[in-house]
Amino acid sequence: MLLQVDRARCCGSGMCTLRAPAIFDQNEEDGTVILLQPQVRESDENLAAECVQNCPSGAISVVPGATFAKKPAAGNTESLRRRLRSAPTS
Amino acid sequence: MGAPAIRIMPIARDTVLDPPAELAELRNEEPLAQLLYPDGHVGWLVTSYQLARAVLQDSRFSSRPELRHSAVHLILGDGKPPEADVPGMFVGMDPPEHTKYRRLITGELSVRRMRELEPKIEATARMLVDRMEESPRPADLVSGFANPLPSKVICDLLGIAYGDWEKIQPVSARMLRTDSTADEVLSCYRTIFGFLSDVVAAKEERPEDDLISGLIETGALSHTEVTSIAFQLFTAGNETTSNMISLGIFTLLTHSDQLDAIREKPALVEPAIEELLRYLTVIQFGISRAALEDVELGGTTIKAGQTVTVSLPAVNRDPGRFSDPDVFDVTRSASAHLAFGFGVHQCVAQQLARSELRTAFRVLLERMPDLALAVPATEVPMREGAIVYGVASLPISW
Repeated sequence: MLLQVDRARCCGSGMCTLRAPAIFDQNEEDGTVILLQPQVRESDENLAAECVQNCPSGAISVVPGATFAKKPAAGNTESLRRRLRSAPTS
Repeated sequence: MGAPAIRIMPIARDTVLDPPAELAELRNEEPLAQLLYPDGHVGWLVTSYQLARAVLQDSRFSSRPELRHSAVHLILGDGKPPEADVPGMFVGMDPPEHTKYRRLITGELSVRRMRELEPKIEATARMLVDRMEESPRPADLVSGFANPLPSKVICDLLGIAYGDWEKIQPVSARMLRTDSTADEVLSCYRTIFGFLSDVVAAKEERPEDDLISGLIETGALSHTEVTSIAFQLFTAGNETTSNMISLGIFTLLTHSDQLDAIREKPALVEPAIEELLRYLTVIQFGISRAALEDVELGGTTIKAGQTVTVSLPAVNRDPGRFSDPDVFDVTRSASAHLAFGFGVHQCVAQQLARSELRTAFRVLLERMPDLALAVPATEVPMREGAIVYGVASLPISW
């Protein structure tokens, strides 16, 4: 499962960070979501799905069609994070 | 034949910990039902979990107080400020204006910041238990612990001397009383706003290490805006958490198997907090929004200008989302509850509330191993008709 976040939508409730601190964190400045681990381990998929559901502003979603994506190498995670951050927001 | 009568908001409870039975019937038969408001407005009542999420996440529904009608109290509206057009009252704003204000404080109220605050909350909780130890028994958990704890914590966070707050506390209580007149509410509001305005002015001169000083330092806000934000955090952060602590303890004491489970396995306090939030949902009359345009919802058209009231207690007992919803079970996964609301207005200080609840329950259970009700459960006075439900007092022994 591959996750993405939309920080423009995020209202900083902290629901994701509360439930899954290994996957999400909050920006120090405005409390908006930081995706620590876009590629979710299979064992954490239920937890991640719960976070998607519980997000009050709908800022977290599963990347469509990327359910079976291979875990990116460590170097790719950062670029992915950057890409998701700079992605245009709806 | 006349048109069928339109119902008013059901508020009478049959049992002290359950929402009115009529809400469950509505959820089954008519989860989006027409509702008659006390001022004559005809709007809608939502009682199902899915519809509640849909309304609260939809930007076509506004939070602006001048557009919304109050389902129960004409004077104490659903979060309506007693005075219109005060800059910085972001609870009653829509995005993007709302977002600008909210983002200034969400960093200060994050999960991590609140966890860092817990040692300080714990010290306050222990101090209050110490005081209760010295007072005659039975003691009242509400006045001795549940009320002062959140007040003290929010004073520390905002940087208000607690002694100053104690002087103004009766005014705050008066403002939230359901039998207060509109003039009384307005006068209380102005007194508290003036008090906080003085606090802000002092910090403009001499900043300290607290949330108000931090807001001033951003340079993005006027004096009135900072005062408004302080006012909202203060008024929203007291009664809610206080009632969750005392009603939560009442609930645990009347469900001794659940209390035993937590005593046996202290880690259960985390899911227990979510379950208490779900089961008790102290914002007992729910929250409201106003349709900015015609909106199709569940096959029904909500007309522009109509108010929609979401019954949070009914929603949190929806069997479509929570199995055996009327059973209080601290081991269930209840984190999807909407006790803090949903959408971009979801309680901004909910992580503070969790830190306070988690600390309060831990300290009380640790320091009071024989905690018990000092009167029969049926004699505990409930806050019927109050915006925030709870117990009026809770006599305890330990």
